[in-house]
Amino acid sequence: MIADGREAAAGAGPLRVLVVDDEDVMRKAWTRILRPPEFEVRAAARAEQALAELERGPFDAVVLDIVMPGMSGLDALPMIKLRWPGVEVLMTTAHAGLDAAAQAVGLGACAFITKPFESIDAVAEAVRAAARRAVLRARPG
Amino acid sequence: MNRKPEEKLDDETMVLVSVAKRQWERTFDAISEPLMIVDEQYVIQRANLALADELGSAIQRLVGNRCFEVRAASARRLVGGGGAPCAGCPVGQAQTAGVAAEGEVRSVDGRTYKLRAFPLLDQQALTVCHYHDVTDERAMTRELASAERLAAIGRLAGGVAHEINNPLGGILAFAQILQREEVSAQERREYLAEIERSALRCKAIVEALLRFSRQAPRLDRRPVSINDVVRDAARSLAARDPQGAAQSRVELGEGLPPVMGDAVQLQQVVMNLVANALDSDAHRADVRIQTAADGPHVRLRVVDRGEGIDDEHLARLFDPFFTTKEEGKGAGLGLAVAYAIVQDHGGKIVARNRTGGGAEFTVTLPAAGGPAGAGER
Repeated sequence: MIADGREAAAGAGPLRVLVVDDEDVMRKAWTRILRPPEFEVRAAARAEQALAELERGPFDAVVLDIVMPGMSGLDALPMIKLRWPGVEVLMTTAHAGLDAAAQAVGLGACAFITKPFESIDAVAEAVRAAARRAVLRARPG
Repeated sequence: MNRKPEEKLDDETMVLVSVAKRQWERTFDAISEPLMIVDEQYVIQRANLALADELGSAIQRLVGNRCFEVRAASARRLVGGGGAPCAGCPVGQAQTAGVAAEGEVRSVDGRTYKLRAFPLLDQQALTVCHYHDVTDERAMTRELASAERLAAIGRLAGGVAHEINNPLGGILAFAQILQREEVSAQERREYLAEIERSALRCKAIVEALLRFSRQAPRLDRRPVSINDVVRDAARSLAARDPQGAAQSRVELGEGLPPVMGDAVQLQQVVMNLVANALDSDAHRADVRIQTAADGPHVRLRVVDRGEGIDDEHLARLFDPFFTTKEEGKGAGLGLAVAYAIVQDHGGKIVARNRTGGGAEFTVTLPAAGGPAGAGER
């Protein structure tokens, strides 16, 4: 089930998530799946744009698509982990290969989500867990 | 009593000739591939051991018979019979033209031989025939081609998966939201519209894929003038995209030989390359379509002054579903279709960046036999 505001209220504000996907419909779906007040979502259509958003930050988690025009998610991932090591990155892809998954994890991604999602609850839970981990690290106690 | 010097010379000559004859026979027999010399009536004058072995006969029994009749009589491997030379035999051509010719003949048991015929250019019109068994080579080539095809299918499947899974992701997500949550009437309308848009995109992708799969087979091959193809393509472009057509210049070469091909498919190649060039240039400033003769080839070039091609994209440029365009602006099949058509025509297509900026796509097609200019009106 998608969490409601009571859970978010237990922490220190909403979980801040950046969704990066070149597909308009996927950005809309993510924005609807990760709802306020538990989540605060911003979306970027390109990896380059995502880096600019991260500069403006702060974020707890990034949902990062792999195949995009311009810089790919796998190119952006190490840059993100280097500059913002506390941010958890969840990779998504519509063309899943074990190689890409292994590479993503090797580069520091915490989860690998394949599109289409069979359950929006499961992917919401994955993002929630990752973002909370980041929050706990950044704001202990 | 001593013989006259002339007689002695004759003897020595005879010995030399006989040595030469034996040397040639040994050389002939040392060659492991079938060889023979035939006259203009296809009567075997000489044959080597390999040929005799291949036909399951003796050299002496071959000589004096017409090659295709020998084959029919022994019926071991090489095909002939019917009182006519084998299908694909180049001997006649070699004798008429007076230069070496090459053909392919097949044996009863399904082996394929590359047969080279070298005319000896003497009064008896003799021709040396050399058989090279290419059956295994061909099988290997076919296997390679099928492996390449499998790899291409793999890339295609990957492309389809990516293109379809994205809209499918939207459909599934919004369908679940609509089922599980309280949504306002406005949200409901919005999500249903998203679902419909995504489903339509899936439909368009499947249609594009079917068009792509229909491209390859059944070529209607005849001598085609590339200049005519370009003119027709330019007319189609003017009807479909007047603004794009206005920015395109056609520069036709002269004295182009025709190519063997399918005019409609080649026109598709031009259209796809031009569309790609126009899309690459935000200002659609200046696309040139050029043709030229290039030795035994005909060259078609489409040049733009757009953004050029990233090095990393060059290798994947012709892969189905590879695109750098924004979502919904192209399925990434145009260049793949052009590539497939050019390959089917025995040609090549190469993309490169121009030093002055922009990209250049060069299609090289083998010219059909015949004099230069025959395809030009």
